[in-house]
Amino acid sequence: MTKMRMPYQCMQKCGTLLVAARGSNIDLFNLNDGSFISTWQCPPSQGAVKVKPSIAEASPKLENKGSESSSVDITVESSAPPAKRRKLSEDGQDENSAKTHGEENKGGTKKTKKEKKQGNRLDSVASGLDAPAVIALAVTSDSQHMIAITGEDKSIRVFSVTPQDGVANLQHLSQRQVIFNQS
Amino acid sequence: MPKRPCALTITDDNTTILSADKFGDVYSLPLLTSTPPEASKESSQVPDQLFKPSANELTIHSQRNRKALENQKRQNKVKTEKSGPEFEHSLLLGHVSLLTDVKLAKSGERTYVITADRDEHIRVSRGIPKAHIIENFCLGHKEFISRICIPGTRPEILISGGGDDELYVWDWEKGLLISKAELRSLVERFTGDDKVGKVAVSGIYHTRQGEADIIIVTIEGVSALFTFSLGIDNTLKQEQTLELGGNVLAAVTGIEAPDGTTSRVLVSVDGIHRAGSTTELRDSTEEPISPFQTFSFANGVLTQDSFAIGASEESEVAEGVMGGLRNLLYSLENLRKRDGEEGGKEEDAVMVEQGGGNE
Repeated sequence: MTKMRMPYQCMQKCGTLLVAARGSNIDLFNLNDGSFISTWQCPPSQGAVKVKPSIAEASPKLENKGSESSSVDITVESSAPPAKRRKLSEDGQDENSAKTHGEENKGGTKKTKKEKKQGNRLDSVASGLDAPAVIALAVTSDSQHMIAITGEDKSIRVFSVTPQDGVANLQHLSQRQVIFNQS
Repeated sequence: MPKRPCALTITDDNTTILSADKFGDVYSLPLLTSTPPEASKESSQVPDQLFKPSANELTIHSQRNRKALENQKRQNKVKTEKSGPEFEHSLLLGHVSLLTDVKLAKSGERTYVITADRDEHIRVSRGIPKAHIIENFCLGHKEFISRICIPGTRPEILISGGGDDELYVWDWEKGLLISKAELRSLVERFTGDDKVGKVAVSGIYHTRQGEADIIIVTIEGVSALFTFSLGIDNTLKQEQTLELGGNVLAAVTGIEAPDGTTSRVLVSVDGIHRAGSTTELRDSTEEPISPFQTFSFANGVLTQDSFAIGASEESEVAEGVMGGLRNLLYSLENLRKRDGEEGGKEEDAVMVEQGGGNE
């Protein structure tokens, strides 16, 4: 039984080269003869990112847990008369650790719904790969540089497409990460 | 504040990247970073100005207010930790919807930025640095727009597609709809199923065949290429429907063909899902198909050729990944709004359910 090959989700032509992304890898091919040249693999993202793809399975669960406990608090809160809720809500607050969202007291049940949705989102966005997946590619008109967006870590990465010792190679020049803003 | 980038393009002078994100903003950033990233990181960690709540513990009246104050303080902390992006960038323009594509266009000496969003808008803005000025909208789509294409040889024309049954052809500078081309019936004829229901355009590509402009269209989860010729009258005429061994994921045009023209087309094909399905995986006993297929024009007709792209190292799919790949390969249909859904909200856009029975 031969194994299936990973499909390429996006591709660009770069002069006489083909730049093609499969999952978190970017492959370089020669378009003159179709030969494979080299590959670049996106490293698993580290600390700075909130949702680490490397623990993609664990983190949605964690998140869900958080939203569940907070949603319970909220429903309790909104079903009772507004003031004089001191004791209960404070207890809830402590449990909600660092991940609590800023505006619990505003939202009521609507917020609860939203948080549940947020849990879903993590599942639906995650590609199941160990490292962030490439979601878009672009090549400069002079074929000197290639730009890739990696999804899970929200980064714009710039590569130079330079021949090294006669072999074309992708050299990772910069990674600019869009910080996940909480508000 | 920038969010996950969705689409990007590069200016003609190859110095600036334009990135469109899912919060509706387009921002520009230099291709090459002038300052080392470490330095910029440090500077951004210095908190500029803390938000100061105007209330304090002595002025609050109720428990609710106390909590609001606590929250304000906490949010303050979060904000200083995670400010804006740490790199040099400037905001060019903003939509109130998830952006799906961004292109730069030119008319005479003037440059334009054209953006498409989930809420049926195609916006024509002035070029950098005045992209906040809106020149026009191309309005008419009834569903999300996923791709826009400006043929290199016909810079005055814009072709757009998305969740609608047709492709739209625009005079973008005037904001005028010129013509439409039916897509869904083509898909129905191809699949032999007249209940296809919905189509989502995943790619619009331009190529030349002799003197003719050819537009190649791919549809999410459909194992065919649909080609059209773009006539002098700016209408699209259906030409060919080419069947492939699996769903089309992406295409590249303009590759040099044996006849010396750049008319070869390379197509990426999904070898793990069944042709025509975005959910069913192929049997592992099936003969695996190559992830690439190439086509070139022979006697004016696009035909599959023998050009083959080699295999990379360790290119096989790991077992655990297969299920999750669907999210990566087929995310466009998620842009479609469900009944009663309000558009323009980021969370709605990504939150669209995967459609219950799919798993």
